[in-house]
Amino acid sequence: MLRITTSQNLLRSIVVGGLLCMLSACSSTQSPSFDRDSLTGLQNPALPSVVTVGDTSLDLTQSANQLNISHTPNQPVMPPIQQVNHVQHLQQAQQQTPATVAPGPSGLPPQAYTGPPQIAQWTPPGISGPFPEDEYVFQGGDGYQLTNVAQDFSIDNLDEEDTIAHFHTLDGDIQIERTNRIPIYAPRFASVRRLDGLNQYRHQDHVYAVDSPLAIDGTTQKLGQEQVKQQVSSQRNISTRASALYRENQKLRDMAHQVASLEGSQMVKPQVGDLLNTKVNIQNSQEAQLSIQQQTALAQTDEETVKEYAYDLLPYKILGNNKIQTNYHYEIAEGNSRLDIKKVSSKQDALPGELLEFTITFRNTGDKAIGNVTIVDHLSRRLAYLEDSQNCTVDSEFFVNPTGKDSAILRWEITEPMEVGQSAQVTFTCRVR
Amino acid sequence: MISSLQKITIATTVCFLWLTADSLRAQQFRPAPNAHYPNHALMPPGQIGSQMLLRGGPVPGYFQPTQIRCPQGGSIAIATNGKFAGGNPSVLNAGLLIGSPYRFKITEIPGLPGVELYPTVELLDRLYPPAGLETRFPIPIHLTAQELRMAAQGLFVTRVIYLEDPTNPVVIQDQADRQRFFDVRFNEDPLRVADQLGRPMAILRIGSKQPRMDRQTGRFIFSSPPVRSIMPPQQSSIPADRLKKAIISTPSIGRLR
Repeated sequence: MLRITTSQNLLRSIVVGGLLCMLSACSSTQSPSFDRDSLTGLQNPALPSVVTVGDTSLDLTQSANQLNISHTPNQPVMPPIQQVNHVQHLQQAQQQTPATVAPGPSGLPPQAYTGPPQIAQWTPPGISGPFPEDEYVFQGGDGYQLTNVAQDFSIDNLDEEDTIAHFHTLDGDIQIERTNRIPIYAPRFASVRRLDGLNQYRHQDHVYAVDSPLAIDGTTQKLGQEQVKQQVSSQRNISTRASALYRENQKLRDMAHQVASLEGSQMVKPQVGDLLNTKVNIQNSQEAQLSIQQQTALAQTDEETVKEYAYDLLPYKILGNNKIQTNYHYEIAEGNSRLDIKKVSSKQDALPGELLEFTITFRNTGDKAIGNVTIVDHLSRRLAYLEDSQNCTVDSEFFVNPTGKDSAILRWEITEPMEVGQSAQVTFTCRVR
Repeated sequence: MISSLQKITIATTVCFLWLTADSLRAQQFRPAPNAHYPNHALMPPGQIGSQMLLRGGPVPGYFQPTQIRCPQGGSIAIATNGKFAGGNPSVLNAGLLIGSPYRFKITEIPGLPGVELYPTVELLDRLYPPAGLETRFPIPIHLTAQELRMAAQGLFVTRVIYLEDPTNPVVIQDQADRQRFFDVRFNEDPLRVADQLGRPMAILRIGSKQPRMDRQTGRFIFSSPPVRSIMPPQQSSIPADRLKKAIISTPSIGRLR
């Protein structure tokens, strides 16, 4: 009786679990529903079709309320009265919780602001995914991979759109500073075309390649019996295996001498005369043991000694006969080396063909002088550098390095060291492609 | 030990679990949320844009500024209130709804006297420009003289206008009065190709179909969906003080080593 009750409880739990899984799957696989009223509202001819607005600051989204269009993805279709209440509830919830939405600049309501992603949590209205960055051309910063500068001034991982500055400190170290990242609204369009018509189908009707006859004469000639016999020669295989070669490589005298030294390490003094005159049969296991002993002896003869010493620390223990060759003494100055660098553009939006002027301002904000200041700007492929448009307020050498992707790397090498508080400026002009 | 009712219950539960697992497995192979792979550019006008709205992407009811250009000297008009409005010379700026197909009328085509063509435009997506720049950056749709000539000869031209991916652009200087395009083969879907190159924004279809001015006219112009007339694009209206505010201070990124 107890077993039957247990099995029944188990079955009930399985049934309840299965039903719960089914309900959860149905709720997750439910396709987004669309209100039929919104579809009729989109094509309602009774609504005013043309609305003329002469101001560029018009709110293009306000007509959604006029047309009574409500888009409710992932929401079940409800009766009209309940749906109106639901929409009103959503609107009230949006009005009551302004803190969760980032406020727009210049007094715009949060829902009306469609600018660049100045606040991280802001997303354009109507989309749930990430911000559509494909409408912007970014310039500056150090995206994707972190840039690294070696001691020979070679730069690694300088990606497109990156702008960095590297300099030498008085300590001999190389530091890297990145600029801010500038979003420039510059969408560019292209199109893909397909032509359909009678001309296309006329080109498809070609069947001339079907009538080519099959030639079988050549096939019978290639299958000759003599050629097959000549290719199979068993003599080569026999001659390549020389069994005497392995015996010749084994030198019995040397092996015997080494085994004698092995026995000597086992506290048995070898007698040289006897060992040389004695033929020792070396087995495979003895060879392996012999090789281990030789390697150990070689490792022990390597002398590990201290090569260099910093400051006044003396070595604790000196092993071997090697002595100190050079003693380096470093004097590390106190303070920080820092370069503050900013990048701005003349406009935040540009159409193809327009000019953009970039300004890079850098300043030594540390408390030590820095040298070998180099500004590197990897332009985006949407930007073309305008020749002879660069200007630097301090003495510098300017280089334009073309890359393999039809973009350019601009580099300014400041010749003189920058003292504390000194600032400089670099400007250049690009055309938006 | 186990009655027949319990056997039926166990079998039903197993079937439910199997169906649930099958549906969960099917969810894993759904296409990317922004891809148009299930659709085809040759689908009827309005179908792809309507499905785009069903995905929950663009805001329904948003009038996306669009600029339609025809060759110099031509006249272009859009169907509103059941008829075609007066023609605009060469350039027409209008705010169009996403998912609703619009019918245009091209007349006075250079080199084709007396020929009238009625292309359709269907928007698939919208732009998200900074506030005040909506009309400065419309979606450009250019009708070339070559395409109009081919359409008059009986060809059907399908052109998908897409927003180029800025991380992988074509390194070429764009002209303001010319829209770049490239042809795909007859067995390729231009919508799919545009999906791989960027974000499809609109579909332009040009044929040689002529309307019948009878009761069927309403269907030919797709019941003339709402249009918002907009002013021609102007220069950037962002004030200088906002530009200064946009300057971001240097991020506090430490040294590499």
